[in-house]
Amino acid sequence: MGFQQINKTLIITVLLLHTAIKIISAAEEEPTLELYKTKLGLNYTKKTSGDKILMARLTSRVERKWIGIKNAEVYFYAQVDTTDTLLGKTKTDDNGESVLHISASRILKNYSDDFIFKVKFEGNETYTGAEKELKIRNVEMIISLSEVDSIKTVNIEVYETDSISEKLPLEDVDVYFYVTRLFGLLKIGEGWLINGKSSIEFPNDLPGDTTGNLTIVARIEDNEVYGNVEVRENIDWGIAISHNPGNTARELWTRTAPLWMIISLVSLLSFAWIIYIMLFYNMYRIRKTGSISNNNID
Amino acid sequence: MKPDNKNKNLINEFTPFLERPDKVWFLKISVLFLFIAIGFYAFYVQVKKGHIVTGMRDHVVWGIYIINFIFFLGLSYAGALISCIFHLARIQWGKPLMRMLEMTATISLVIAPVYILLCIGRVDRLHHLLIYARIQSPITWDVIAIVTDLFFCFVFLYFTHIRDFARLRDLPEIKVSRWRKRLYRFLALGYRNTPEQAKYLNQALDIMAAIIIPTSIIAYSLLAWLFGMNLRPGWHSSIFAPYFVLTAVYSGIALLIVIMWIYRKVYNLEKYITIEHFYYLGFVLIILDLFYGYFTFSEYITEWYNSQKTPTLLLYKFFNFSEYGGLFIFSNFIAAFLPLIIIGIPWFRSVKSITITSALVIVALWIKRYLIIVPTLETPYIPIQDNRAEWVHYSATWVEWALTLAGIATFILFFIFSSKIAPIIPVSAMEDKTKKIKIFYHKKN
Repeated sequence: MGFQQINKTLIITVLLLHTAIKIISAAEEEPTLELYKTKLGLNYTKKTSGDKILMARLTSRVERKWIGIKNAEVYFYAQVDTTDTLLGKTKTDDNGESVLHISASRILKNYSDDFIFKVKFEGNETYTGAEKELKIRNVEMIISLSEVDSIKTVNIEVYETDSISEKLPLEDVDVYFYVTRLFGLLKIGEGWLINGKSSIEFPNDLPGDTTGNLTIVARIEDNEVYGNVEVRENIDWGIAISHNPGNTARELWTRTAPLWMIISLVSLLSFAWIIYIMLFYNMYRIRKTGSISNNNID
Repeated sequence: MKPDNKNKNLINEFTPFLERPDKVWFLKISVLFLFIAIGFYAFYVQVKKGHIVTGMRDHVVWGIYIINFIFFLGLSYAGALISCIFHLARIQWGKPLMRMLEMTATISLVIAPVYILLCIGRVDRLHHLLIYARIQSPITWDVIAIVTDLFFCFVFLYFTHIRDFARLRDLPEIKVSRWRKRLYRFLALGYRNTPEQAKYLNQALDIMAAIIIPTSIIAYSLLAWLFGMNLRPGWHSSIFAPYFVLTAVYSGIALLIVIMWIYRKVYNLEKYITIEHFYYLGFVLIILDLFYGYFTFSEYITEWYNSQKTPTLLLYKFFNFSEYGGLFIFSNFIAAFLPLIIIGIPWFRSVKSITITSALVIVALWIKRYLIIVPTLETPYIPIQDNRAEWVHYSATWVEWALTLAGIATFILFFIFSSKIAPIIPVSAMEDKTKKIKIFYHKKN
C-alpha cells in the first residue's frame, strides 16, 4: 500500500511537472508570424481613344475565401525594349482593386510588338509579395454605322498591324454589341470576326435621349490574346423620349398635390382657425364683461 | 365682500411657493443653467465645425436628436391627451394633476422641435420648409400639426390659469413684486367669475379639450407615418401610428407619476396628491404596459415570421449582445413586464416602488425610441458601401449628450419657473366641486 501511494504521488508529480514545463516552454516560445499568401490578377482594356486601362486585384485567402486587400501599394510595369519600365503605382481600394490609366501616346511596345505588362505587390508584415505578368497583342477596332432603306447596321473592323505597318485582319474572335443605359450596358447582339469584320442590325425600338441620341458600344471581351478592346459611337438612332409630363393628373409625386389632399388640409386648417377666432372672441367677451362688472363694483 | 375663509385658506396654502424663493431654489436654477450653458457651447461647436462633431453620418442620418424629438413630443401629446380627457370626463380625482399635465404638454412641445433644428445641417435654410412646402410630404403635415397643437396647448394652459390669476390678483397679502401683481391683473382678463364669464371660459375650455384630443392623436400619428412610410426594415409597419400614440401615453403617465412624487415631496402636497393618485395611475400604467407588450410582440413576430433577409438581420442585431441585445432586453423587460410585477403584485406596491418603476419606464421608452431609429438606419436594404466603422455604427458624441442634457435641464427649469408664477395645483378647479358655475368673487366694499 505504501509503495502504491508513493507511485501514485510520483506519477501525479511527474504529470504536473510535465504540464508545467510544457506551459512554460510554450510561453517562452516566440510566436511564429505566418504571412498570408497573396494573389494578383491583371486585366487590360483598350478604349476608343486608344487609352489603356490596367486593373489589378490583390487578394488573400482568409478562411477559405479570397478577400481583397485594401490600401496596399501596387506597382505597374511595362516591358519596353527588354527592360521593365515603371508605369505608375497606386493603392488598392476596399475590394483590393487598383486601376491605372495609360494614355494612348505612351510607347509600350517591345521588340515583339506585343505589350508585356507586369504588376507587383512587394508584400508587408502581414502579406507575402505577389506579381503577375500579362502579354497583350495590340489591335485596332473601327466602328462604322450605316443606314440603308431604313435598316440600320453597326459594322466593325478589327486588325493587327505588323512591323511593316501592314493590316492583318483578325479571325474567329467573338464580338459583343451594346448600347449604354443608365445603370450599365444593354446587349443588342453578338457576332464573330470573319476577315476582321462583323456587323449586326440595329433594333428600331430602343429609347434614346430627348433627341434620340444613344451610344453604341462594340467590345472584344476577356480575350486571352487581345484582352478587352472597345469602341463607342454616338448616333441618333434611338426613339426620342420627352420627359415633359404634360397634362398629367395630380398625384402624390407630381409638383401639384392631389385635390383631396389640398381640400383636407384647407378644411382642417380652416377648422383650427375658426376655433382660434372663437377662443379669441371668448377672451374678448370675458374681458368685456369683466370691465362692466368692475364698473358696477366701483 | 371678502372671499370666504375656506377658499382663502386654499389659495393661501400655495402663495408661499409663489413668493420670494430661497437659496436652495437659486442653487437648483444655477445648476440647471450650467447644463444649458454647456448645451449652448456644444451647439456653438456644432455650428462652427458642422455635423462631423456628432455621431451622425451618411447612413445613420438621425441620432439621439431625433430620439429626443420623438420622446419630448410623445410626452407633450400624452400630457395634452390625458389632461383633456380628465377635463371632459370631469374626473374629480384628476383635478390636482391637470396643471402638471398641461405644463408637461406645453413645455415638451416647446423643447421637442428644437431637436429638429439641431438635426438640420443648414439651419439658415429653415424658412425653405415654408416657402417650398410640399403638401404631399408628411414632414409638412407634421410641421403644421405641431404648430397648431403648440398654439392650442398654450391657449389651453393659459385659459386653465385665468381663474387662478384672478384669485392671485385679488390677494392683497401676497408678497410678490409689483410687476408680478401687474402681470396677474393683465392675465386675469378682468375675470370676476360672473355667470357670463364662467360660461364663456368653460365653453372655451370644453371646446379646446375636445379639439386637443384628436389634434394630439393626429400629430403623433403623422410623426409615426414619417417613419412608417419609409421602406426600411422595422419601420414600414401599419401599426406604427397606434404604437407611437400608445407609447406616448405610456411615457406620459410614467412622467406624471415622477412629477407628482417630486412636487409631493418638495411642496408637501400629501393632502392633494394622495396615495390613491399613485395607485390609480399605477393601474393605468399596468393597462398601458399590457397593451405595449401586445403591440411590441405583434411588431416583432410579424417582422420575424416573413424571414426577409434585411429585417431578419435587424432582428438578429436585437438578440445579439455584441450589438443591441442588452438594450433590447432591458427596454422590453422594463417597459413590458416591470409595472406588471411591481405594481400588479400588492406586496411590492408602494408610492416609492411605483415612482421608481415609472422612472425606469421613462428610461426604457427612451431606449425603445433609440432601438427604433438607430439599428434600422444601420441596416439598410441597399448594403453600405463605405465600411468605415463610424459610418456603419452610430455612437453619440459629447455634443449630442450635452444638448440632450440641456433639453432635460430646460424642461425642469421651465417647470420650476411656471410653478413660481401660478400654483402647481389648480386651486380654483379644486374649489369647484360641483362643476356648476358659482360666484366666489364678491364686490368690494
